[in-house]
Parts: sequence; structure tokens; C-alpha cells
Amino acid sequence: MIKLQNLTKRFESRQSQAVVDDLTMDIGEGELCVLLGPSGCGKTTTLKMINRLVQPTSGKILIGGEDTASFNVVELRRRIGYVIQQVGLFPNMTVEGNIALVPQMLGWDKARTRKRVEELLELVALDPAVFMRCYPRDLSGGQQQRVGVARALAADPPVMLMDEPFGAIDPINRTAIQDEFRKIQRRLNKTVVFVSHDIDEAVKMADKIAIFRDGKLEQYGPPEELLARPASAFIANFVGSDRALKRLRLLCASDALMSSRAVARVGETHRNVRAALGSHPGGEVIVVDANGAPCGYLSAACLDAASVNADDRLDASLAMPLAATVRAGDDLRSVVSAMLAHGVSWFAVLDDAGRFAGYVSYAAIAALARAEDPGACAQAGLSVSTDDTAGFVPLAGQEEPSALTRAEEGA
Amino acid sequence: MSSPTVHRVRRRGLVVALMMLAACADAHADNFLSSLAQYRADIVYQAGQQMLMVAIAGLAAIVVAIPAGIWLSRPGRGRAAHLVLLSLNAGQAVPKLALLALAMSLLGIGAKPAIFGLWVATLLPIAMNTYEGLRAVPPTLIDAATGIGMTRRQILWRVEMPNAMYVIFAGLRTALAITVGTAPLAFLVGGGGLGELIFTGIDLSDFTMLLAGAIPTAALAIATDMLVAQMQFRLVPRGVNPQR
Repeated sequence: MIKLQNLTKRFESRQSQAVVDDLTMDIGEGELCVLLGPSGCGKTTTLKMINRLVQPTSGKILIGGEDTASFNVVELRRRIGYVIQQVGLFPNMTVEGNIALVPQMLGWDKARTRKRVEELLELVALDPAVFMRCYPRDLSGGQQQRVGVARALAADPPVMLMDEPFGAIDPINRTAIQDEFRKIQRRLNKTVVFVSHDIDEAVKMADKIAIFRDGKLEQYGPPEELLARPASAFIANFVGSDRALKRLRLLCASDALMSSRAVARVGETHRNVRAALGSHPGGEVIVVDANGAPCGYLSAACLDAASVNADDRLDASLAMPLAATVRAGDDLRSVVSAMLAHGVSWFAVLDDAGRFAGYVSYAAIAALARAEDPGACAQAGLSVSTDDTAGFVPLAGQEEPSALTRAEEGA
Repeated sequence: MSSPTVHRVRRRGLVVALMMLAACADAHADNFLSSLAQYRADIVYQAGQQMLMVAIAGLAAIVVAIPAGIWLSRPGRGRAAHLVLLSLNAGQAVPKLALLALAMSLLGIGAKPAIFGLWVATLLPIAMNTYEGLRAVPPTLIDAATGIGMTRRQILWRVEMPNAMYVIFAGLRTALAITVGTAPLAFLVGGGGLGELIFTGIDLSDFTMLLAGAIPTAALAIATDMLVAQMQFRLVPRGVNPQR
């Protein structure tokens, strides 16, 4: 969708050093590409060259196969959405006036423009009835940037440029607006070039990340790849020493899921339960009811203590309550965090319907995190899910009593 | 924006009012008012004359100073702007009476030099405030406007001017209040106006005649200021109007 070819920018005042130096990269249609790097690395200049707010010294920019230099610059900009950190809403105009500006300039009629404004306000989760007539000064920072995003989307441009759009918003609102924007972007299939200096934001939002250093592209690829295989010491340093943890955020519990075969069903004979326990090296199995919902866990020790006959049926009351469970869609970083918080080394994973889907263990997550690259990552995930012996390794130093029991004693 | 000149005009009005009160206390109030009333026809005629001069000078100043302020504020004119504002400032420092004398030596006697002198005195505050108002528009607004595809002309009229409007109006207020207050001097170069009553009153030591010119002058200055303030309140968009 966007092709940068040998793009170079030198400012006259600093002739010797190029701000952007012979940059070549492709951004695919519908992708959100984050330009990332320390300040002064040329990422904003690159962004501004795309809508020709900055004229390239040499090189070409193609959008949809057409050279941007062949466009009338005003026409070009009206076809590209633009969002900046300072929002830049015009304080003399109402919210409606701000959003309607580009459609008006493109000659849309009043009814169509108005309808579009309402549509966009709903899209960014602001009630048109309340906000249309407001002036920017009546809005909070987060609300203003929502309007800023709506304004950029007004004429339905295929491409959007965003210069640290959420940098000035407080952390809580920022997370919400990032999530919402990502949803909107996916739904509308916009190609977005997004400047950021925040690695966490980049990992969260990006389809691809381009890391810049001194006007050069250091590495360009999907976030998983950058985190798994940083191309240089600079990138490894930039993405941070906790990059293994950052990668976990890109994976969800279902990626580390292990087989759900080893379960004890309510109503089964104790003989079968013993067998299940035996086949499971962790010595603990989950107890599920007739609907597949987990109702607790069992260990060999508590089965011994219960003194029941092998032919008796398993009763739900024997099961010990679970400290916590996780959902298949939860990211692994929060799963690990929950493991640390509860002092356990495994969790039962539930699917969307609340049924038991399998186990996720610390060992399996660690194996994933150690995997070199995304491909190997997937294989590692596959192998642990078929091989139960990789199972329940307790967290460091925890042997007796078992992790779960300890958590309960603490509670 | 603070406008010291406006305050000065107001203070002048206050002084006149106090003098009037003193006069009232001195003479019998009825007596004073009826003696003022004998100048009624003169007051009306001369006030009309004076306001006409102010209107012409003021309009001419707006027509010249606002475009000049806009021109100076365009990027890349920093040096030119500096020089022009410096010379306007110097012009402002010349006493109004000297200015009128100079104008008279150029344009002869009558309303013409008076209007010219008032026009020069009005230019600076308007040009200055237009320039400063436009320069105070945040660069990010211009960046955003350019980025969404507005032309330079659209940016000027739809973004910059509305955002500078409040400051420009403040300049207008100052300028017009000065002009109205200075206008009686026009009499000295043969331009007529309420100065006729004031200066003749001084020459004849006729206190009532002096007040018949001074009170309406002060009232007109205050009324002009209030009128422009009202315009400022109503015409500047709510989003950029600190009063609303």
C-alpha cells in the first residue's frame, strides 16, 4: 500500500548528516506499522514525508502504486488521515465543525456530512447528541483525541498517519483508546503509519514494527520477531531486558495449552481417577462436572486421605477448590503474573463457554518464551500440548507441600 | 489582554465626571444643567463632526492595519515585521499634537490633516494586535490544518483569524478609544469637533463651555469602548472567547 524507496532527507542547516538516510520499506494494505525509535531518529520526519509536510531530498513514496510527488499536495493530504500528539482540534469550531472540515472541503452536501459526523462520533464512542455542539475546550484530553481520530477518518481515507497520537493521554484512558483504535483500524482495514517511542505501545498495536536509529532502519518485522530475534545490540537494548516478558503478551493461554485428557470426571470410579492421576506426573488433576466445568482439583494425597473404595464413584465434594482459573484468550504475561500472585505453577484454562479446555503450566510458558523465533514458538507450543511429561514443574524452590495447597494455606 | 490606554480613557471620563459633580455642588444643579443645555445644538453638531472623523480614520486604519498585521505575521517576514513594528512604535511615541501639526504642514488646514493624524495614531495598536494575535496561534494547529489538506488561505481565514480574533478586537478597542479621546485636538488644525467647545472654553475661562465639550467627549469614548467590547463578546467564536 505504501512503498518508501531510497527515501532521504537532509535539512539545509545540517547538510552533513541525513535525518532520514536511504530508507526503503513497504507497508502492506490494512497493516498498522509502528515507526519506533529514540527521539531524533527520523521517525516523525519519515511520517511527514508521506503526506509531504516535509519534502524528501531524494527518493520516492508510492501510495497504492502512485507516486505522491505526482499529486497536488492539498488533494494528497485530504486523502490521508492525520492525527498528531497535540490533537490540533481547532478551538474556534465545534466538534461537528472539526470533523466536518475535510468532507466540506471535498464538497460533500450538508446532510451527508452531518450523517458522517454522527457515524464517526459513535465509532469513537462519543454520544453525538452530547458532543456535536461542544467546543474542544469542553472536552477532556482523551475525548479530544477521540475527536481527532474521528476527524482523521472523516473522508474515509485508506491511509492514516499518526504521530504519537496517544502520548499525551493518561495511562488508563490511553489503554482504552489504544484498544478501541486497534479494533476500528482492523474493522475498517486502514493502513496506518504510527509513530511511537513506547515499545509497549508498539508491541501492543503493531502488525509490524520498524525500529529507527540515526535515520536508518535497523529492523523491520512483526513484533514477535523483533522481541525473539533482535537484529542488533541496539535493538535488544531498545526493546528492553524484559523482552521475554513482552513477548508473552503477544501469546495467549491457548498457545501454551496442554492436553485436557488427564481429568477426573464427577461420577467416575476412583479406579479411573487413580489412573488419571498416575498418568499425570504433577500428581494433581482437575475435577470436572458433567458439563465440563471445573469444580476443583484432586491430588493423590487427598484421595488417600478420603479412604474410599476403588469402585466408588467420585463425588464433587472431595475436590479441593481452585485458587483461580484463566481464560483461553488471556495473554501469557497476565497468566504468569497470576501464577506469581497465587503461588501456583499451573492453571486450569477455561474456554469461552466456561468449560475446562486444558492446563497451562509455568514450564510450558517458559518453553515458549525460550523458543528462538515465532516459528519455533509454535512448534514448542505444539510439542508441549501433546507431551504431558513437560507438565507440572513447580515454581523454583517449591516442593512440599504442593503449590496449590500452599496457596490455600496462605488464603 | 490588558489595555492601559482604555483605562486611561476611562480615568479621564471619571475625572470629568468628578469635575461635573464639583460644579454641581458649587452652582445649583438645575442652573448648571440649563447652562449646559444652551450648547445643545453645538454639542450635537460637533459630536457628529468628531465621530465622522473618528469613523473615517478608524475604518481607514482597520483597512490598512489588519492586512498589514496579517502580512507581517506570515512566515519568513520576521525581520520586516520587526522593522515595521519598530517604526510604528516610534510613530506612536510622537505626541498627538505634534503629529497633527506635522499633518497640517503637509495637508493644510481642515478635516484632512485631522483625519490623517487620527489614522496614524490608530494604526499601531491594530496592526500590533493583529500581528501578535496571529503569531500566538499554536503552531500545532497550523500543522494539523496543513496535514488535513487545508490551503494556506483556508488556514488563514478558518483557523488563524478566528483564533486571533479576540486579540485583534482588543487592539480595536484600544485604538478606537484613543482615537475618540484624541479627536478634540482636531479643532487645533481646523478640523472642528468637540474641541471647539473645549478649547474655546479654556480660552474664555468659561467652565461650562469647557464641560459642554469635555463631558460628551468622555461619554463618547466610553460608549465606543463599550460598543467594541460588545462586538468582541458577540463576534468572537465561543470556543476561543475567554469571556464566554
